[in-house]
Amino acid sequence: MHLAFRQDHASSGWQAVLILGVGLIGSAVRNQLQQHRWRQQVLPFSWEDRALRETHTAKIVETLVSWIGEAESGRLDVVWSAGIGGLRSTEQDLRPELAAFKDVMTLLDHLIHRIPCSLPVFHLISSAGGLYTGMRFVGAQSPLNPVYPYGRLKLAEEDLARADLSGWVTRIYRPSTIYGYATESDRSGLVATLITNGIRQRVSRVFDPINTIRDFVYVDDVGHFIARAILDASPDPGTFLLANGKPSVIVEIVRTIEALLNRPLYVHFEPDAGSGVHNSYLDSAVPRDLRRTDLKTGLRLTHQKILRDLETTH
Amino acid sequence: MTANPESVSISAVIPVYSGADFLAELIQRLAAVRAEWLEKKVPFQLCEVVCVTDEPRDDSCRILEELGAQHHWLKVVGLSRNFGQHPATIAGILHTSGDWVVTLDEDLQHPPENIVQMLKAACMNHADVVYASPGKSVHQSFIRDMGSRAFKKLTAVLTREPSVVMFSSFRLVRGPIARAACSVCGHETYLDIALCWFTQRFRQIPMDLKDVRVISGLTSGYSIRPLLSHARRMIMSSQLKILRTGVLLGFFSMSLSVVLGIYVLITEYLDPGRFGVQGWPSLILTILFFGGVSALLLGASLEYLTNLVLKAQGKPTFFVVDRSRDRILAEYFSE
Repeated sequence: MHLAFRQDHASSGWQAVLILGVGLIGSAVRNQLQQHRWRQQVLPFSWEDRALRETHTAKIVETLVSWIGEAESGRLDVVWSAGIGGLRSTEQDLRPELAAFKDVMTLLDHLIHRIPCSLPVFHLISSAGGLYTGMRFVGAQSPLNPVYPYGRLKLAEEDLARADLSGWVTRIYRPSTIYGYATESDRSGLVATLITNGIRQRVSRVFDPINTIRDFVYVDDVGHFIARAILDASPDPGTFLLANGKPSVIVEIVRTIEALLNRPLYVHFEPDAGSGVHNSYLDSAVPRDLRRTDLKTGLRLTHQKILRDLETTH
Repeated sequence: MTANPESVSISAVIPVYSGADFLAELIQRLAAVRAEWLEKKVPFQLCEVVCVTDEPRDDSCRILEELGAQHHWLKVVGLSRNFGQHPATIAGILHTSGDWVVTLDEDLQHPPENIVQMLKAACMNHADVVYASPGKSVHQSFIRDMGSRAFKKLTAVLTREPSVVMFSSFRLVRGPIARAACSVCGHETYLDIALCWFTQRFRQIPMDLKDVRVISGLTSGYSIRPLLSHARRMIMSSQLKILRTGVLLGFFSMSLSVVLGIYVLITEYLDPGRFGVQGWPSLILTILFFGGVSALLLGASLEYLTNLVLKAQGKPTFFVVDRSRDRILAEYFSE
């Protein structure tokens, strides 16, 4: 968990940002915010142990209260970018995430009463792939189709955020298939796996057929969009589809990475039940102000990050 | 709008270079086709139209921007500079996600109302690519029409790829194959040749097509220089099977020189002075032998080079495709 704090001299108030889950998206938001002057601290937050989580929650409140000091009113942004699930997760796998999310809802309610906060904003990272499973040409009015437990979990989180957070401005982001690289992330997506294994000349296992259509959105674009809302003086509540708008087939990704690495990739396709679900989104459903890095540039940037990381770790 | 998962989705791709006079009507006709299909509840939908602006030389961008605001299914992709018709088509296809992709010219040369015929031809013949076969005088210019046909026939012979004669920019391609072919296309790859790497299931249906711009004396968006560039790219993307003839010719020439050499040696031994001029047989045999060796090695080297180029261009070892959804269309068209 990452806590960032700054005194906003223009409004003589303060702003604190709590990022719950510093994985791929969380670290992208944090990196975007680092360009401004923030006091930062990493605090523990247990996702598994509820008792420990209560202790950690108390520590978060304590730290925030000490940083705010005598200042009167300020703004608090909480970003939920945690989550361990994926389309293949079972109900059982996802139960701890829902429990942690409910506890966070309680924490938010507690925070708004403990600290003098004039503008509380909650940023929830949901999932377009989970909510529109197997759907193509998804537009602004498309009905949801949460087929798998992961999609149902994301829908439950969205419903909780909308219903239980009175007094909060709630912004829900539905990113499509995110790609990029973060050292902090425990999970590696398709793109990072293909690049890393390509560099190391190892075999990559891909669980979707080669023709599967996905919309790959670069993680820094998502981070940039969320960070801009955090820095915006009056962010609007709403639900935002964060997609590239350009569908890509896995063969295109494989081929582009091969050209990037200048060597063939060893890929073992292992399509299983439920794999190969297509997803694409209409351009008109994507916010106009979302920065959209083109696929080749995004893959290059990811490649550079992975190379830098491999160079520093070896 | 979301495509009904049970229905077959179609994406249309239009490269745009100088279509200001035609785009409004073209999009309006596509909208009419789309509405008609929805109204009739046919098992296929025109889900998106992707217009790729190839640094147009007219007002096309503004017109498309206005049309895009009216139709949520119209996507405009703007290329950063003028790349040419094929790269624009490739960029457009890589922005689609339909089960089938149809490519049309901007100038109403390709009637959108005929897409359904192509779809029918595809699923009834289990084809992956359907080309529109224009009538004999698409440009109503004898030289241009003849030149185009003759060049395609020549390329078909040189490459031993019979489908070359069918190539047309009005094509319906199975989505996964279209996107896979476009994914492997380099800047010099000819799109239709790349399609040949993924399928042999080509069909052609006759259609009365007219190049209105050329016929009415307006300049075509793609004039003679780009057309020659097209031709060059088609040749360069293909594996010229004629190279193998060169290898065979070299081998034959080398073998002949060995056989004749033995004959000359035996004749000289048995009947000295039989060939009259001294040194002539050995000179001819030497030329024949080394000419043969050179032709053989050159042919073999070119064949290796072609294989390397094709590998670099992305010719796949194999590709997997699922044609099971054709059944939905076949049942509909059989009724």
